[in-house]
Formats: sequence, C-alpha cells, structure tokens
Amino acid sequence: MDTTQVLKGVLDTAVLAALSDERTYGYDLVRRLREAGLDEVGEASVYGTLRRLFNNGHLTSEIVPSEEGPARRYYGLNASGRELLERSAKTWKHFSSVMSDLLKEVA
Amino acid sequence: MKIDVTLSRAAVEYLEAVRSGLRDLDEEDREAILSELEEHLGELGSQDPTEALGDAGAFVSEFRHSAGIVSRPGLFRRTAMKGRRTLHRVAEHPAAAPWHRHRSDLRIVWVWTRGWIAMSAIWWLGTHWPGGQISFLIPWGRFLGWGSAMAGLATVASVWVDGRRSDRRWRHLDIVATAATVVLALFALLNPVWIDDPWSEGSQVLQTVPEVSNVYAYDREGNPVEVLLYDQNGRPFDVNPDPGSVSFDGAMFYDWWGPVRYRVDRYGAPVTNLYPLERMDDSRQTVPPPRVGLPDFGAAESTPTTTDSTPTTVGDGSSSSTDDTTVSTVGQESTTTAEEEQATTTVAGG
Repeated sequence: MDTTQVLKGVLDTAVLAALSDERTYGYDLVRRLREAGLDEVGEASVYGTLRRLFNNGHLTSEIVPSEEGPARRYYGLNASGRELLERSAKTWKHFSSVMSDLLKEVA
Repeated sequence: MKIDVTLSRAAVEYLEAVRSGLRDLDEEDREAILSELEEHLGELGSQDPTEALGDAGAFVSEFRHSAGIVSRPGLFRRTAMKGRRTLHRVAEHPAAAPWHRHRSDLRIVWVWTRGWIAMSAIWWLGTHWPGGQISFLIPWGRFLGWGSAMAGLATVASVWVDGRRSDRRWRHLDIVATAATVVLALFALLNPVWIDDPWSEGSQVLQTVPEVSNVYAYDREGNPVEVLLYDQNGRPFDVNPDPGSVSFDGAMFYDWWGPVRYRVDRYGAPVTNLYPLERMDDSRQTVPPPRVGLPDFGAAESTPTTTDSTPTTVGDGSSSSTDDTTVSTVGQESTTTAEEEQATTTVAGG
C-alpha cells in the first residue's frame, strides 16, 4: 500500500495533533512528525499544510526570536483549530475502527 | 517581519529557485513562505538543500498542492476565461433569450462568416504588404476567381477547425485564429482599399468579368459613334488596368491586351478613353467590331442589328450624360438636331 497517499489524507489531522500540545515552528514540526513514525512526510507538504490551515483560520502564527539562532515562525492551534482537530480525530477513529474490523482476519 | 538567516550559496540558490516557482503569488504571501523556508534552510546548516528537501521544482509543486494554491493561469487562459464569462453574461441577458432557439443556426452562420472575414483580412494584408497589389473587401470583379477560391478555402478551414473543438489543441488554435481574424478585420475595416486604387491615380478602370478590352457605342439608329468615356467624378474610363505599363515602339502602342492604335490629341498624347479603340490582332489586322443586338424602339424607329464600320475622326463633340457615366460623342456633324441630341447612346463592351 502506498503510504504517501494515505499520508496525504491524514496530514492535516497529524499536523493539528502535533500542534495540540504546544506551539512550534516548521522545522521542529517536521522532526516531530518523523519521530512519531511518519518517516515519509515531506517538508514541502508540512509547510504547505501549515500555510493552508493558517489561511483557513485554524492556526495562530507568531515570529519568535531565538537565543540559539535565527527568529522562528511558531504555529499553534486556536479555537477553530482545536474544533477541527476534534472532528478530524472522531472521523479518523471511526475510519480506523471500520478498517480494523475489515482487516482483522487478514492479519 | 523578516527572519535574518545566514545561508550557504547552495541554500540561497535553492531559495531563489523556489521564489521563481512562486512568482505568481501575492508578494506578501510569497515572502512569508520564503522567510519560513529561509529559516528552515538555516536550520539545515551546511547540509545540501536539494538532498534534504528534494529538487526545488518538486518542492514548489508539493508545497502548492498541500497549500491548495492553484497556479495562476497564463495571460491566454485568463483572457479566454474573461471572454467566456462575458459571452455567458450576454447570452444570459433576457434580451438574448429569443436568439437561444437559433443558436445552432447562428453558429453555422458565424463559422462561415468567420471564414469570409479571414479571407478578407488576408486580402487586406495583400494590399499592405510590400509590393501587394490586391484589394480588401471587394475580392470580386477582376479577382472573382481568386476571391472565390480564397473564400472557399477559408470557410472550409473554418468549418474543419470548428469540427475539432473537442480536442484541446484545436480549440486553442480555433480561439487564436478567431481572435487574430477579428483583430485583422478591425484593422482592415479601418483601412479599406478599393479596387481601383492600385492602378489608377487619375483615371477609372472600366473592368468587369470577362475583362473589357474595348467599347463600342451606337446611336439609337444603330450608327457607330466615337465616345470619350468619363465616370461620375469626371475621371476618364480606361479599359487598361495598368496605364503605366503601356509601351510605344514608335509606330504602335502595346497595352495589357496587345497592340492598339491610340488616337492622339493635338499634342501627340494618346487618348486612352476614346472608344472604340483600334485594336490589332497578331497579324496586325484591325480587330473588327462585334455583332450586337440593338433594342427595338418600335415601328417608327429603325432597328439596326449589326455594324461593321469604325470611326476614326477626332474633333469637337457634343456630350450627353447617363446615370454615372459621361459619354462625349466625337465627330458629330454640326447639323445635329435637337432630337438627335436627346437620343440614347448605346455602349457595348468587347
């Protein structure tokens, strides 16, 4: 199965989930997603997703000076983003449950 | 706010490539995206950006897809879309409703008309191209053959292209050809060139199909008369389409048709609108006048049907005027009566 295609369908939810605990910047977000197991996630996809979610009013954005290097643009969830994350989580859990049932005898 | 980062040369080049790929975006949006990428490249340090992020073009493509940024259509597509929207608005206007029933018929008319316009536009180009000597919008008369052939070709091509509109490439060609045709036609309509312009500065060319090489005139009794022909503006009528090409070998003039013995005025200049012309055939024999059928004016009038004499005298003459052509009869006797002056003069081309 092509995980890239699956990833495209769930990247919004993955990005929202990764930002739910604390706000972060693009480079760190990519690292977090990869550490979580989404090895094939691409930087361009993450930045594009951040841009779209921000333009759609689901994220906050702020440039924060850094002591270690250059200033960074941090993203965080706002109320709209949290609401979207909850809906997406429900959809994913239902989908995941259905797929698990369908595939339980395969494994 | 700009994020200041020190980048390697490779990173700067990568950033510029991405900037180029996003040049159609709003500047503020583009710079916001680039500043974030710049920050990311700064985090990569000395790592090669292409190895880390992939090819710049692929990065732009993936970014656009994820961000939901649709490429801005090119000028051609934007113009076509705008034109389509305008046409749609016009078509949806209540005043256009009665025409909807005839839409398919109108399309056929449009396709054929477009072909004709294209032909006319090409014709017009012919007059404005260096050395061009053909006229616009009246490709008939002298150019009936060429005009008909071009009109046929243009309309067939128009119909042929129209039948392939389902193919995107042909649809584009159709749109481009139509736009070019309309532009050319507008230019041409603003700069018409009429059929007589290429040849005659001071005289009018008397031409029909088949081409006229001579003119014979008779009075109502059927007597041949010499006439000087002029148009409604007083310009001499000349059957030679290119008076400037007439040559003279010391004894005989040669025009487009062949040898001709022009009568000359008192200063020795040939009078080219004095008819009938004395034309010679290949064996230098005078070409006889044609047999003509003259109208029957009734029992009281004579109704001659043939003539075979050619007048040669040039002198002062009286004149009468038809609708658009002034006919001066030459060599009439001074005993001409009032009735004779009112008589109709019959003119025959040959």
